[in-house]
Amino acid sequence: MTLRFHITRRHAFQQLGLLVGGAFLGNAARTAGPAFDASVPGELTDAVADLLQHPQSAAIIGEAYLALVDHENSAAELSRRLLQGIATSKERIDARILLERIRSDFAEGDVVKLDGWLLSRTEARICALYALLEAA
Amino acid sequence: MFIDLEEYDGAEDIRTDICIVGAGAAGITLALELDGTPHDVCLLESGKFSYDAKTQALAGGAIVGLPYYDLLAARLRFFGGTTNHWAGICRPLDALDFEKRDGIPNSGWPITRQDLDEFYARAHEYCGLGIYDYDPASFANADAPLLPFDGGPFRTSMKLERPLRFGPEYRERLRASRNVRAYLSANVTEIEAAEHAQVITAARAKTLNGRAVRVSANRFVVAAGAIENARLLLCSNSVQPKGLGNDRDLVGRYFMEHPMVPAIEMQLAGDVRDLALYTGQSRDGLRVTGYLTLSPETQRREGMLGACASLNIGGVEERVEKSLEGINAAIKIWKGIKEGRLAPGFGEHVGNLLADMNRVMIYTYERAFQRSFDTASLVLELEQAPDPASRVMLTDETDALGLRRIALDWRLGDLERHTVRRFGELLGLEAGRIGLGRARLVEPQENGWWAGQRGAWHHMGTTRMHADPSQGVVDGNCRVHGIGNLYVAGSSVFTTSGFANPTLTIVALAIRLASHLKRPAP
Repeated sequence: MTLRFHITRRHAFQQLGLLVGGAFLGNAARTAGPAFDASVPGELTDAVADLLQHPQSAAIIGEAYLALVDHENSAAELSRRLLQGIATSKERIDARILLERIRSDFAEGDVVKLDGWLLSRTEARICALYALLEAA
Repeated sequence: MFIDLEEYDGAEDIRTDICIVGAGAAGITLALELDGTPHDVCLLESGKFSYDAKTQALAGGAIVGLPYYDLLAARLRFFGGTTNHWAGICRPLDALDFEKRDGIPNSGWPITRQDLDEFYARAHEYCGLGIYDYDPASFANADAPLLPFDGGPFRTSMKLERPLRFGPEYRERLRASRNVRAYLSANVTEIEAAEHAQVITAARAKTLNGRAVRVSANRFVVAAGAIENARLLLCSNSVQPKGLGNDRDLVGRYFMEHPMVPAIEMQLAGDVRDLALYTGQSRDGLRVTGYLTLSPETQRREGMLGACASLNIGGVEERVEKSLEGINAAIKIWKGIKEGRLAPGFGEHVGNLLADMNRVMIYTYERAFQRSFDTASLVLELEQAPDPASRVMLTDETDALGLRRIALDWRLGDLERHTVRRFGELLGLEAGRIGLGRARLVEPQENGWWAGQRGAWHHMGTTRMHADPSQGVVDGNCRVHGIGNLYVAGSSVFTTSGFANPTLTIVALAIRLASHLKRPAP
């Protein structure tokens, strides 16, 4: 039995396309997206922007992560860690790839605890990167 | 046949073959199993057919350990016993629960799960549960799928629920019995033993209006509930000052409950309709619910007690609308972060993040913009480790019949804490892995226990079963060590508690004991 909320590549891209059409109510709360930073590949910035539709929440989570792990307190450092393994495989960076990394974080036990919530390190880093780019 | 002892004007000496003390799930099951056999049976019940405050007052006692319910409310002294208010939730103990487990002191029954299987199947009939089948695959379907744990640390375990009241259900069968006499208003105040306390000679019973009888029998079964079983044995100290079966100071010890600990909150991802099996469904007159439980391998590896959790899904929220309305609140929280503290409501932001990621994972357009992301609270129902310091004991206060009352000193320890913490951590990882959502681990209070933690009204272990008399009160046949004709029925004989609700096992053990008693007495 396939669980209804398993990722399928076809549907993930389908939904990204539909959301660009602006029908999602969340668009009303969406900012213009994270600011450009030369130390962060454009692909990654776009993937983060595509993924995060609740920017205030992402920023709050990101700030909490940065307070916990202050040695990752730069866009360049976060970008480097998020891209580890992806760049070497020459896969295109997109939201799907990030989501797969998130899932594997849980499988490998690479999680952080923020206010008691167990989050994937990748998703916390994504939020942290967004928080830094927005603050720039 | 039913006889109300308060109106009884027959002989004070009653003679029978098998005397059963207590008409709850265990006592009624025993009596029904012995109905129609060549044995003459007396069933002695403290109350009548309905609640009576004066009789119920006999059950009062003190709480001297962890906070607990009023003992007056936790048990019922009328025909049917605690089945008169139970929730009817049933599940057998798992095979692992019977094993000697490294890291779980005092674990290991003298019988196995396999020894009970045939009796569990019959217990199912007594509890009105239909076919004896707890395989989750038998309950899953397209509308209620199983979560894809797939070899991870968790699995789905089923509980079935039907609050059958043993009193009304079986009253007429016992009334029609030719060989079972049930005496109501019969409060047993002492179990008499011959010299050296190796043989029981009689049970003395009194009514609140002053009548008294002496029931002599070949064999006796104490089936009055875990707290009263211990109380009665301890109070019956005319020959053995420490109480019957208590020469090793074990009676009343190893009191176990199923601590219910609200330790985990969740933001659920996906379609909560996929969780239908875990929130409970009605099927053929039963309520069936899937619980999240640990695999035996995980329990062994992690040194954890058994535990289960059900998903109590909160109100459905429209996360998108909330994110629009909560902008001002978000700004306040943002300031809170900058000032170095996490404001309440962090979970809301986790939910929003989950919504964002889930949007990508949704595969049907029509649900994409109608997302409702639910929260869930999880209450862990824990096995309790057998601890001799957790106990019931006599006080100097007496009841209206002159019997010493009980005090409950319920204790929990590091194994329970470890199980709660580690269950939460493992669930957090697994929930993320399979796409169930995100988990928040609630921190315990300063006293080391969780706010809202409580018992489940399950009393177990006070006359535990063990082959070695230095480690148990009864043997594998529920016979009190050192006493040839005294048996105990009910959850007081549980060596360990598992996480399963006890009634099905109580009934199964009673059926097994009855099969033993049907053999001629030695």
